[in-house]
Formats: sequence, C-alpha cells, structure tokens
Amino acid sequence: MNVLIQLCPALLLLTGILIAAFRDLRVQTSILRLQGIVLGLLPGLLAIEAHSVALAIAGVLELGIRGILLPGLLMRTVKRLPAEADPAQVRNTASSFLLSGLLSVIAYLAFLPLTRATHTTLAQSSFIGLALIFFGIQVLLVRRRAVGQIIGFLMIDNGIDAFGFLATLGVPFVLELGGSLDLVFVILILAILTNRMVIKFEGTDIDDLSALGER
Amino acid sequence: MSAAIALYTALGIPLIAIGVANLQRSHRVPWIATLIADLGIIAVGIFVVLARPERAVAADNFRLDQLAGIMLLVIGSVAALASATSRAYLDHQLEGDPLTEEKRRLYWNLFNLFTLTMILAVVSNNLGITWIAVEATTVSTTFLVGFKRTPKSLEAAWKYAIICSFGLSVALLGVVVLYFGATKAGIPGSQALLINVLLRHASELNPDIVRIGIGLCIIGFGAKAGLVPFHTWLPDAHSQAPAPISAMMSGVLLSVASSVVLRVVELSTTILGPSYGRLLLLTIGILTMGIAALLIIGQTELKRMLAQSSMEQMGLVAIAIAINSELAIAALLLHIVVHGIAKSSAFITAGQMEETTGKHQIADIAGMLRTHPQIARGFILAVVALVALPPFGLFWSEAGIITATVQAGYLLPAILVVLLLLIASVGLVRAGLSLTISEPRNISNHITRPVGSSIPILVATLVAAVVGLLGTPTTHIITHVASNILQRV
Repeated sequence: MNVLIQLCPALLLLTGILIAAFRDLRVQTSILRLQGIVLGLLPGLLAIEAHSVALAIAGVLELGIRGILLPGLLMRTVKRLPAEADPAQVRNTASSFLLSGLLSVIAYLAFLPLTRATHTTLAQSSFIGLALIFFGIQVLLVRRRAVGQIIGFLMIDNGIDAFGFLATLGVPFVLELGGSLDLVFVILILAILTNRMVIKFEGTDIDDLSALGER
Repeated sequence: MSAAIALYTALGIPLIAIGVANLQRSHRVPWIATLIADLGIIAVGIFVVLARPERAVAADNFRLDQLAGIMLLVIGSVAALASATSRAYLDHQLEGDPLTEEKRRLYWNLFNLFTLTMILAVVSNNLGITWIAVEATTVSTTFLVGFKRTPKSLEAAWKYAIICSFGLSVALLGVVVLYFGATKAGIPGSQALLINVLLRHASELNPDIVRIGIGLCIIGFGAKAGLVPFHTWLPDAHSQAPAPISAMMSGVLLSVASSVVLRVVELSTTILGPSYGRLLLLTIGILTMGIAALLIIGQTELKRMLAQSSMEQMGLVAIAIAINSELAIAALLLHIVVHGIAKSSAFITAGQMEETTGKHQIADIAGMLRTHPQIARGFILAVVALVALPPFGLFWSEAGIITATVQAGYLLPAILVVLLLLIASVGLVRAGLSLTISEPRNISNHITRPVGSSIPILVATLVAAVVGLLGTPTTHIITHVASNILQRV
C-alpha cells in the first residue's frame, strides 16, 4: 500500500511533464485524464491506510470531477473543434523536458521552508504540487489555442490540489467541495466561450483575441 | 436583530430576487424585486455598522464586524444604482432581439448571484469560504461581461475568466499553504482557516510558512482587485460589460476584493509584523497607480479610461492598506464608499452616452452638453466627484491616505501618489471637458432619444457630496470602525 501511495506523486510529476511536452490536444487531454485519476487515487489509498471516511469522500469527488467529468468535457470540446495545428510551436520536445526539469528544481527550492517543516516522505514530495503549477503556467503561456489554455489552467488547479493532499492530507471539506464546484463552473464557462469563439472567429487561436488592449 | 438574523437576511435577500426573476415573466417585476433586495442589503449594512451585533456566526465561519457592515452598505448602494438603471439599458439593448426573454432572465439571475457572492465574500471569516466566494464572483460575472456577444466582448470575457481564475489559483495555493502552516502548529483542521483563530494563535505559527502563504494570498486576491501583476483583465472587462455591470465591477467588486486583501494584511501584521505586508502592498500599489496614470493620459476610449481610473484608485487603496494606521483605514473606508458611488455613476452615465450615440471613442461622443444636456450634467457631476474636488468625499479620503502615508514616514511614496493622482485627474478632466463642453463632431450621428433617466445619478452624486460635507458624524463613524478593525482578534 505504502509503495502505491509513494508512486502517486511520481506519476503526477510524470504526467505533468508529458502534458507540457505534447502538442496534440487529444493526447494532452488523455494524459490530463490520467493525472486526474491519479489525483483521485491518492486520497483513496490514503483513506484505506488511515481508515478515514473524509479522505474516501474526497477521493471519490476528485476522481469524479478531475478524472472523469472535466477531461470528458474537454475531450468533447476538442472533438468539436475544426482541425487546426497550434501555430506557436517554437520549442521542441527535448527543450520542453529540459525546461520542466528546471522548473521542478525551482519548485523544490521554493518550497524548502515548507518541506523542511515536515517529516513524512509524502509531505516532503509536496513540492511536486508546485512543479505541476509551474508546468501549467508554462502550458498556459506557450499554447495559442483556447483549449490548450484550459488544459494549462486545469493543471495549475491539479497542482494546488496535489499539494493539499501531499502536504496536509487534504483541505477542509468546505473548501474541497466549494473549490471543485467553482472549478467545474469555470471550465464549463471556458468551454462555452471556446464554442462561441469557433462561431465568431472560425477557430480558437488566442492571437485572434487582439482587438482590445492599448494602442 | 442578532448577527445571525442579519447574516441570513443579507444572504437570503438576493436569493429571493433570483427566485422572483425565474418565476415572473414580466419585465418589471424582477427589476423591482432586485431593487428592493438591494435596498434591503443597504438596511442590513446600516444596522451592522450602527448596532454592532455580536460578531461571530455559524461556528465562526461568518463574521459581521463593522468592516463587513460598511462593505454591505457599498454593495447595496452600488447594486441599487446599477439595478435602477438596468431596465432602461436592457430595453434598449434587447430591442428586437428574438432571445430577449432568455437574456433578461439570465441577466437578472446573474446580477443577483453576483451580489450574493460579493456579500458572501465580505461576511466570511473562513479563508476557504472567502476564496470560494471571490472565485464565484468570476463565475457569475463572466457571462455578464460577454453579455453583448460581440467578438470584443467575447475576447474580454475570455481574458477576464482566464486571468482572474489564474490569479485566484495563486490565492488558493496561498490559502492551502496557510492551512498547512496552521495544522502544523496544532490547530485542528476544521478551524485552521478561521481568521480569528489564526490571529489568536499568531505566535505559534511558523513564520516562514506563513510568509509564503500570505504573499500568495495578497498577490492572488489582488488580481481580483485589479492590482499589478494581474491587472490586464480590468480595462477589457470593465469596458466591454454592459454599463450597469461595469458600474458594479468598478464600483464595488474591486473594493470587495480589496477588503479581502485588508483581512489578509491584518493577519500578516499580527503574525509577521507590519513590514512584510507593507512593503509588498506599497510596491504593488505604486506600480498599479503608475501604470494606470500613464494609460489614462493617452486613453481615447471612454469606458476604458474610467476602468483605468478605477485601477488607479485601487492602487491608492492598496497603499492605504499597506500603511494600516487608524487614519489610513478610516480614509480607506470613506474612499471605498464614495468611490463606489461616484465611479458607478460615471460608468452608468458613460453607458448612457455610448448607447445614445452608438460610439465608444471620446472624440466621437464629444459635445454631449449641447445634444443631451441631462446626461452630460450627470457625467460632469460624477467626474467632479472622481477627481476629488471638495466637498466630495474623495477629497477627504485621498487627503487622509496621503497624510497617513507621510505620518508613517513614507514621504517619497506620498509625493509619488500625489503626482500620479494629479496626472490621472488631468486625463479625466480633459476627457470630461471634451465629452461635454466641446463642439459636437457630428450632430446627426447622435440618436435623439436619450437612454435611461439621470435621476439615480443625481441622487448618487448628491450622496457622494453629502458624505463629504457631513464632517463630524461621518468622521466619527469611520474612525470608530477603523480602530475596531485594527484591534481585532
């Protein structure tokens, strides 16, 4: 059981690096689904070990929302999109891996004050949450497609969630439930806006959104 | 009336208005219900400020202190002003629209939901609930920003949703880090996010962890207040939203987010001492003011300029929070109230000008005093209030914040603030003159039928002036509230 629990942070980090490296939206969404499932399994496994009902409920909630609902919604949106390649592909896969490695080190260093205060291996790997947030920001900034940005945003939120479970075995139930609800609505809104974008701009290139701003 | 009843009244009123909006097919009833609901919120706010019921409610998750009371007062006032003028706006905007019924229902539903989420954010004592409520304000307003369904409004809605949600993710991380720090200090999980509990256990918390958490919270919640570095959504969203919604966002949503930042800074001051939060917010505040002032001076679009002026005012609010003395907080509270009323009046009249002429550029709208004197007079009043001329309340509040900054020993920042305020005022006055007094560019361009009435604006600006003129009673109330905020726990 312990080995399985220790495997979760490693899987989270791996899925994060892969999402940042891949370009195909369908592949990215599939890996994001895997990441969501791992995020649901982590509290589930912890619940079995600690015999905690609260953690079990959190696990089901995570699995349902991050593992099934949101990636499913994203996949539906992706399938409806007209075929178009992401135009802003300047980096190759190798440099993406390198950047992800660098970001992981920065995340580790940034959260040293936090990890130093803990004793369990699991809590000491909580910097992985921050690493996922950094990968998410990387995706959010580099991708020029609407869905790519949603994937980045979701990964940021997954990272915060992962940090919560790794460092403190989950946040209070109110925040867990309310936060998930907010997340679902935000993603739903972004998906609807993406559909409207397809109608108005005949594509989802973020660079089409340039009518506003200072000139 | 106890605190619990006041709380449930404040939260229940918008819910009733939502129910009415869904049950009634008439155009008038949801409008009147919303208006009554907003007046009810003002009444609860006045009650909380004056009667000071016991503070903690519902297992300490909510708190009705005087800061919450003043915020309820601002939320109610600005929402009342916005809803009063919404009907004329909707009638004009949805004329001949086949989906008018659905859009009207959506509008009133989201309008009241928006009010509800802001109320939740200001009465919460639980950082988790506060975060949920602030994020819910994004959820409820994104479709309102994109209400016109033009490509530009779609762009604004997208940027608003992405940037604000990202900023708030930073705040969420901060909240989780604080929770981590609190549980490490032995506070039970169910209480680890309660602000009063954190204040009580200030000495037991690990400052290294708290520093990370507080910093993330200030920057993250600052995104919603339009502060640097996540300020870029603000001019887009505020300029593209329907005018009454722009009024709500600029007039009160920004201050609601600022009040959350104020609560976080109170935590920071108690746990880490004054210098950390002060340096962070002073830097953020001056940067925000500087960027806004530069943008205002070159701005050619009416509502964008007003939005950037709000950004500048929020920079000033951040500086007042940074200084955190009794004078600074008293001036800040006055500032939030008067700015809310003045800015929402300006946005509503600006919206009326845009609807009437069908133009957005200041140069194209020019000469309103000749063509539509009623709207122009309302706008002049609002601009005079905004540039902080006495007797309007903003004069006293800005003077108070600057004095407090000097008293705290920050002379250079205070000089910078004065300069930046002057630059922004020059921009506002120049635009105001061009919009109203100058010769109209093309009279035939102007639709003759004015959109909406100016009575709500006259009432609102009158209030903004009276608050400044009242002197002693106002000063007495706000200094009292300020000293209460500073002596928390």
